[in-house]
Amino acid sequence: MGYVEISRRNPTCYIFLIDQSGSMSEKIADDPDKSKAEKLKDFVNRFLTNLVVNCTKAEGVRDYFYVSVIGYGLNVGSAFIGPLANKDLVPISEIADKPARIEERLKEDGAGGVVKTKFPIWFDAVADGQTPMCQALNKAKGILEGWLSQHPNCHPPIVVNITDGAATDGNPLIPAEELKNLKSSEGNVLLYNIHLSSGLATAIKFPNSEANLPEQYAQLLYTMSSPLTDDQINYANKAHEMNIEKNSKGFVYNADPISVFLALDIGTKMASPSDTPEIKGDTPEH
Amino acid sequence: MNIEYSHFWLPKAGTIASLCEDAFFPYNFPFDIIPHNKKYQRYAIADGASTAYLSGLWATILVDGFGSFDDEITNTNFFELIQTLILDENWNPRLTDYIKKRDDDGKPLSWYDEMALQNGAASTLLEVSFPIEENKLRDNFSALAIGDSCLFQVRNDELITNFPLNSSADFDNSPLLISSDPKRNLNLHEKIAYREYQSIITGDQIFLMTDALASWFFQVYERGEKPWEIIEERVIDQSCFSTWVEELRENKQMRNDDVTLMILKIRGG
Repeated sequence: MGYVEISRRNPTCYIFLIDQSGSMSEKIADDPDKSKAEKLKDFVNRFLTNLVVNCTKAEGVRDYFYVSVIGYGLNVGSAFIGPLANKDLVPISEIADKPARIEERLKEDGAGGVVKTKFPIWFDAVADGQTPMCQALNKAKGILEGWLSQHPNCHPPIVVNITDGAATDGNPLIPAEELKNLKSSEGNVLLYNIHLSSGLATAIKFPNSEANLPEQYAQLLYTMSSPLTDDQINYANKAHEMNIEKNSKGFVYNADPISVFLALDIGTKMASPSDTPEIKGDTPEH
Repeated sequence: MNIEYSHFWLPKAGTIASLCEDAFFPYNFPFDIIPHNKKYQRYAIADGASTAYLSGLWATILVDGFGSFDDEITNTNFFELIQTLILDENWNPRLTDYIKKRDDDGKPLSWYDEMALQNGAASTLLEVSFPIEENKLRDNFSALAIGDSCLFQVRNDELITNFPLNSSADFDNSPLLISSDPKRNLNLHEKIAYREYQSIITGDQIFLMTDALASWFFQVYERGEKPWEIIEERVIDQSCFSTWVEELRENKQMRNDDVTLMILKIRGG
C-alpha cells in the first residue's frame, strides 16, 4: 500500500520517544565506549540533521515535517534544549535554525583521510530516574490527537520509541494500542521501536516473528510495533540490499537506527514544493 | 531526412514554473536546419531529484552540456565527460557563483545548506544523438540513459523501441540518478543504459518523456491500446498538453509530478 505524498501543504509529523531513565547510563552490548544515552543522543541528533538536510532546497527548509522529541525518565516532556526547550511540536525549518549548539566531529572522507563535519545538537544525553514509557506513549497520543484534528489527511504520523526495555509505570501494550488506533484518512499511526540492549550484541532488524528474540522486553516491544508495508519492504530490499521478509514489523534490536530510518525511507518520502500558487503557461528557467 | 521537434512540459500541480526540476534540450529554436559542419543533432531530457539540493540546476546543466556537445558520447566516455564537460566547465563555476551571490545577498550558506551541497544534486538523464554526415542526418541514432526517463520509438503504428525501461512495473521511488558528487556515481558505471545504431526511417516518431508520463505510456500500451494515438489527438499545443496532463492527474491515471514530453518526427526530404 502506498501512502499519500508528504508536502508542505500536507505535512506529517514525527514523534521520538526517548528513554532517559537511569539504566540508559549502561553500555550497549556492541560498543563499550559509549553509554546507551550517548548513543541515543547521537542517533536522534543525526537523524534530525538528515531530516533537515533532506528538506533543504535553495530557497530554504521546507516544512514537510513537524517533529517532537519527548524524553521519559525523571520527567516526561520535551527533550529539546536551547531555544526549543519545552516545545512539544516544532516545524522542521525551526529545528534547522535553532539547534542548541553546533559541534564539530571528524568523519572519514572516503579516501583514507578524515574531514571535519558539523554536528548540530538539539538535546543531550540524560540518564536519570525510572522508565515511564506508558506516560510517554500517552503524551504522544495527546500530541497526535491535536495534530490529526488539524491534519486529517496527512501521511500517517510516525512514532519512534527508543528504549532499553522495561516500562516501570505499567503495561505499555495498552497505551501503544491506543496510540496506534489513532488514524488519518491515509492510515493508522505507525509505531516503531528500537531496543538498545546490554544483552546480545547481534543486531536483529525487522523480524517477522518474536520467536527468536533474545529477551522478554524485546518480545514486548516487537508486539507493540506496527507492521511494515509491502512498499517499505520492497524499497529497503532494493535500495539498501536488505533482506526483510513479508509480514515483518518495525522493530529493531541493537541495530544502528540510522540504517533503520534509511531502510524505512523515513525522511525522504516528501514531494516537490506544492504550496505555492500555480502559474500556467509559464516557462521554466533555462 | 530531418526532424520535426516539439516539446511540452508542466510542473507538478500546486507548484510554480521556476521550481520545476525537469529540464530539456534544445529549449526553443527551430532545429530542422542543420548548422554547417555539425557532427550530431542532440536531444536530452532530465528529471532532477526533488529530495536533493539544486537538482533543477543540475538537470539543466546536464541537458545543456550534453545536448550542445558535438563529439561522440558513449557509455565508455560518459563519466569522463561528466567530469570535464559538466563538472569542471559548468557545475563548479555555477556553484561558486551561487555561493558568492548568497554572500552578496546577505544570505550566506547555513550549516544545512553546506551539508545539502555536500550530498550533491541528483538527476536522471536521457540523451539521444543523431549523427550527421555531409549536413544530412544519417539513418540511425544512439541513446544513453541513467534513470527512468524513457524513449519510445513508433513506426507504422507499432511500438518498435522502448528504452531504457521495459514495463510499468520497472518504475519505483528509487531510480538511478547521476550525482554532482563523482564518488556517488561510482556504482553507476555498470548500470548506464546505452543503445546505438538504432534505425530511423521517414515517418518514425520518437517520444522522450520523464517518469510520470512514461509510466502512463507503458500502462496504456500494456492494456493493448496505442498511447501514441492519444498523444497525437490530445497534444496539439502546450495549452492542450497542460489540460490533458491535469485530467490524467485528476483521474489518478498519472501521479502528480513534473512532466516533460519531447516529440521527434522523422520527416523526408
